[in-house]
Amino acid sequence: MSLAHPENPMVIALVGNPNCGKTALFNLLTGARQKVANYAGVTVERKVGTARLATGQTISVVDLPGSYSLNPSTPDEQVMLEVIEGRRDGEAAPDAIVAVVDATNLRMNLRLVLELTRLGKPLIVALNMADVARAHGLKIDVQRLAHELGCPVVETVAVQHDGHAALMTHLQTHMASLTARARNTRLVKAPPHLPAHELQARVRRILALVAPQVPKLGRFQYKIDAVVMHPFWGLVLLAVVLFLIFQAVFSWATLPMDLIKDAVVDLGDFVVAHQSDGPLRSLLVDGVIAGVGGVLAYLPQILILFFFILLLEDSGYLPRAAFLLDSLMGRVGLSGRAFIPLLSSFACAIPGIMATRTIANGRDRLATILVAPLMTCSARLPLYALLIGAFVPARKVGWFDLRGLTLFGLYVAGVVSAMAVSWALKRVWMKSHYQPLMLELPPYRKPSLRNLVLGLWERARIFMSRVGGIIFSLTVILWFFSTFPGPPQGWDPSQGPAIQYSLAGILGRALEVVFAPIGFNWQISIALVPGMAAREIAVGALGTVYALSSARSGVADSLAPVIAQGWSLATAYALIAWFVFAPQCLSTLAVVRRETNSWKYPLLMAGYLFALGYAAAFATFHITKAMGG
Amino acid sequence: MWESLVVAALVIGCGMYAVWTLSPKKLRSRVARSLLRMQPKGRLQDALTRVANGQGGCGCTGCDRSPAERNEGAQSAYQPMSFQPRAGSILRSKADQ
Amino acid sequence: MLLSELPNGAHALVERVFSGAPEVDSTVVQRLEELGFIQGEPVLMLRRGPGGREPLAVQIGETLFALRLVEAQSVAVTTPETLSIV
Repeated sequence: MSLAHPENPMVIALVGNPNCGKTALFNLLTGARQKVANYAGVTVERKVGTARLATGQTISVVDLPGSYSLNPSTPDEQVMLEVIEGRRDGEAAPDAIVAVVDATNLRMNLRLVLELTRLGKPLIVALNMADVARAHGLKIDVQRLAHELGCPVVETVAVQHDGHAALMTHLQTHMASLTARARNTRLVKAPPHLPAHELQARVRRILALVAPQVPKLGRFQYKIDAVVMHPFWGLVLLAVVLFLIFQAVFSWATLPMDLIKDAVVDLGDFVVAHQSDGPLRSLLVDGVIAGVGGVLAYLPQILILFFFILLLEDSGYLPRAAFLLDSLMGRVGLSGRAFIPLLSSFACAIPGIMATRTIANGRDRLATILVAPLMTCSARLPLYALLIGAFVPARKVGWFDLRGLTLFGLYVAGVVSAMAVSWALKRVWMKSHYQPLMLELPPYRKPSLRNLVLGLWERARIFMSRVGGIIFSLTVILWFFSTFPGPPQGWDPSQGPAIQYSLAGILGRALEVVFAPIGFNWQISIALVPGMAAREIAVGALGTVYALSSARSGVADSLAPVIAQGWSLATAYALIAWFVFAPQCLSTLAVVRRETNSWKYPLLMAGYLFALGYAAAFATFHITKAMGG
Repeated sequence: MWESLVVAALVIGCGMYAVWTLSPKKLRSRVARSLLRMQPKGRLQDALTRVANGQGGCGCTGCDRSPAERNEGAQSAYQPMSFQPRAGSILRSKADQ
Repeated sequence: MLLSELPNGAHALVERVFSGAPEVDSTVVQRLEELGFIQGEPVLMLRRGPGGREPLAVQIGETLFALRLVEAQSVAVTTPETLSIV
């Protein structure tokens, strides 16, 4: 079915353990030319991409999910086995299999390779992380390994931009023979599985021949873990690390943020100077620049936050954090598996909620879904930053900046509230189930600069497309509703800003009735409406509404000083408390509806989150007022 | 005069975009499918086909995927927990590709 | 002896994996074997999580895993002392 023909490119399948760098290799081979979909009926992802050889020919690369063995015990693995064997309908049988192996852990990785050799299909072993192995002084006799396995072995370094060169060369030179062999071994049925200890005995024999020195995990790794995973010091370290991250988010961001803000103000002045007064100028200055420009200024902070998260992730620290927090999570009724979905929710609750699919128990999964939005997602950051920047003085508390401390406190509040809600659910549902853990703790690695840069670029791209898309369009619409219908004949500015006569102004005042008890004025009330689509829009919306309310027409003022002047401290704090809880994100609710297949849960979630938000804002407002704010 | 036209065009354009993005997926696929019947060409056709088949955004770059059978997800719970699943980062949603 | 009974820092050899608790079914047993808990493989008990009970950080072969208590209770091991007795 698949012959190496220009129209029918050769198909190779990448197989390997999780954590062997297979995905990085796949990314190297295919670059941006990838597509992700699902195999029908299962959650297994089908990742296909095209690699271009130096000769110009393309080959199709399929990235199969990481696994430890070919022995299928779940429907996912059954699908994978069928794809490898070429028994899957509608799937081109792979012409060759590339077994990706972590050179620093042959003992584990070779088992799968041995199983693959028994399939009889053309096999190439990609010895990945060969550089790391060498750096650890591990010497692998590649020739001998190829001889023992009966298949070619090439070295790859998936973190280097040309680390796949050897593999590509090999594929090129052997393409003809590979496809010929593939044709002959078309429908291969896997031989009966060898029992694990027999397989391991063979692995041990090969290892003795190929890499005879006993590789020890570096002393260094153990020493680091002695601190990082220490039941007390480990937790202290975790707290300190988080602390420092939030400090950096504020202190490092100041310069770039000011640059962006100045640029936005300059742009506003430029438009004012070159465009005569009228609806277009207002749209541009009060709508686009005040609105969208306001949100743009928070890009540096988001990038700094993600810089640290990616750093932690790449270095191998995160599984240790999961290890430390697992028993605490268990105590509030969260499965250990909830760590990844909840951690993902710090970026955006939507992939976090989708990641809960790996939680087997229905109630555990639902509990995780219901608390995921409480994790401070990256969309809250512009809001927190705006309010903290305007209302919390830049004072030093010991070594730490009060602003960074406050931000840290808000993130902690999100986590604590998630745990509290989860605990409450546990009491109601009385759940405590066994959740398999089997968490792999990979060796610490030097974070790859390449991954870091790629990851940050991704984040910036996502942010910019959000700004340019939904934030821009809703800000323009809000501008429209805040400008029309205009003030009546004979109006003059002493009667108040024109915006109060607009649809938004009228609606805002109506909403104010609902929000007055928690200290929100009509401007905040109306800004929360487009904020339902995306939290950051509230920042832009406030910018636009205040720009239109400003007595100084045609000047692009920065929002923060305006609200610092206009709002009471109690209002600001109440708004912060509101945002800790309020589900201002329709997309999240939509995803919950899809994942739980009912309207009950998203409505329940929206209900309880709005209630918590209102209650928190109410309490915060009145307590702060009583204390003199 | 032209000023008002520009403003109106922008506002209407943004309105349509917002309505489109915020619409439920099913509604969007239905609209896309009926638009496809008018035989558009090239990239417009690709984009419409993608939406018709159920892909497409949620205000982010789109992390939609129709979830598979409920119980299948449960099976993968027995996989050992690993911090480097499909994408390069756990923080990157599946569709941030 | 069970893996869960090893003190922190102790070395041992895996004897077999079985269902050491009602929640540990055949899938979990198979998974544990696939992770490397195979007869004859060296295992090192590293440490336990905060609280001292679980998870248990264990090194099997060259890989580190964190396991639940019931999972560690499903791995039978032999220590050098018990070996020499036999």
